Amino acid sequence: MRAADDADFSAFVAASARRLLRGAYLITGDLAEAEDLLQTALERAYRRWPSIRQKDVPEAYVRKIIVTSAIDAARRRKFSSAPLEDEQLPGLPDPAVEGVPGRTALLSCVRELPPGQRAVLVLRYFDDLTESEAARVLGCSVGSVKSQHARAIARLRQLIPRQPDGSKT
Amino acid sequence: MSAEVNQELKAAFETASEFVRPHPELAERARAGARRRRRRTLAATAGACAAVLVIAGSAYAAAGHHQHAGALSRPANSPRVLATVDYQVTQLAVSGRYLYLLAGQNSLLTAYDAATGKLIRQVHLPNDAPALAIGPGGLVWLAYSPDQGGGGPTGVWLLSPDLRLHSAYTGLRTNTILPSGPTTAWIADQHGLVRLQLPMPGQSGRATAHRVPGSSLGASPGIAPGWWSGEIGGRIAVLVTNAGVNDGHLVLAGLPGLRFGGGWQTHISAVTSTGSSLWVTTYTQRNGETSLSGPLVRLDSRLAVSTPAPMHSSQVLARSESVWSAGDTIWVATDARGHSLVCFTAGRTIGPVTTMPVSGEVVALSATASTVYVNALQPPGSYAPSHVVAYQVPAACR
Repeated sequence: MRAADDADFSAFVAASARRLLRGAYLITGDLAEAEDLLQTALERAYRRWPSIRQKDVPEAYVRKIIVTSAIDAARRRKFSSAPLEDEQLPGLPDPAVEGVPGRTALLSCVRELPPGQRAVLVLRYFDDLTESEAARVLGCSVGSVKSQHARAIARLRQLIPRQPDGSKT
Repeated sequence: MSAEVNQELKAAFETASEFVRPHPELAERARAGARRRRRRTLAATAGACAAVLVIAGSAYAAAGHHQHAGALSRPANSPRVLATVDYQVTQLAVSGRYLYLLAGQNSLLTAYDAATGKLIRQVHLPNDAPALAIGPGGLVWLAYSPDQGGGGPTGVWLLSPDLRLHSAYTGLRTNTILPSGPTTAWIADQHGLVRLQLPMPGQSGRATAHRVPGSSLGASPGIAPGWWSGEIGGRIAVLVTNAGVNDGHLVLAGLPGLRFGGGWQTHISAVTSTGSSLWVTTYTQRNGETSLSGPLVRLDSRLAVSTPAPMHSSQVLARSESVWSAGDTIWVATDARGHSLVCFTAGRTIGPVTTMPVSGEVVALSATASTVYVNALQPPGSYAPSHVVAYQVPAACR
């Protein structure tokens, strides 16, 4: 790889890594797993960097690897482990939403969603992608994104706890 | 969903991930990972080509063409650097596909892939961690507590092998853990043994701790006595401290009248158990001078000295500093020149003592039947970054 490409890769990581890592963390709920996913995706991107850079799509490329890998991993893990309920995993910082009960509850509900639906919400509301952009990342049709989104919202409506006055958080 | 809830989702995602920061050397790590992957691919391709050549060569020879085939020898089994760390490793433990590094004074536990050295997960612990042990089933036990004069939380964790999940018993202070089942372990406090049971990592349930009647260690109250524990002849031996750090001696739980070491004659620096005997590195202090190395001693199930003659007379083992075991293989770190690490078998046959190609001061070690993982400081006592290196166990030590 040419030195210019190398420098360009470094610049891309410096500019995009945090946003990509935050998205990965929101989908996985596990910082270490998110870090692993991001690093693996960047390794793959680095190996194909000249062509990815030429097409001017590095962030979309890396995001697609992260999201599809996260969904696959979550599906494989579904029956093999149980998350801690009351405690944070060791090494995982306390979520910054502590003290904001409404948002905490909302995030808890998001974590209850199937990985595909969770990914759609993160792509739409954290990464600000359109439905067609989200479809490209997920490798599915726009219709599928719409239906996943609709199911996610419907499920959230069921899950969000009611306030004592009958309203939802 | 209303626009208001959409906004709430946006805000929740922003806030919840605000603390997330990528590793500052992420780009370099990705480059290194990509190069490793490329090397592995090339090696696999070369291996496949070699295999094709071997098959072709065999077919050619079988067809009656008895020409010199040339040596398609396997690469030499050279040591492999699995990890480089810039902190002091206090304990290594290998189990299944995982190699664990404990940096007790840095409150850090790291899991690596034992075959590739890939970092699996790093966990920051609530406090200094003096004890790490792997139980049957591969679950990881860990004790954390403040060092002398320090403050902060105290407790025991049981972690899943990949360190992703854990269960905990907080408020319990110990320096040694001896797993007795997948979720049970013995710990030694100042009054004797405690049987600890924790829920499976990540599962709800109650942790329980029960004192074992008649398990006195004969140690003084107020001093955490257990620094090491191991099974021998169906009993549990514990390294306890009564009057100070130089009075460390071994006792059998429930039989505190039997003891080995302590006083000014024989200080104990390390102990390991093969189940039927204990191997102990000792040192002495004479006229105020402390020699940090000394003879390696074997103890029987009554804590009586039973060192085999070849080990007793070995000039290398007379300068032992620390000892570990894996099955019937004993590993000894020494300060004898050119013999930083030696090994021997201690099953039905004893020895011979074999020197490993390791230099520096061996501070942590863990082994399987075929591979030994070593962290050595080079030069001895230095704080420079050190490597964790995997060596093949010599045939003489298997």
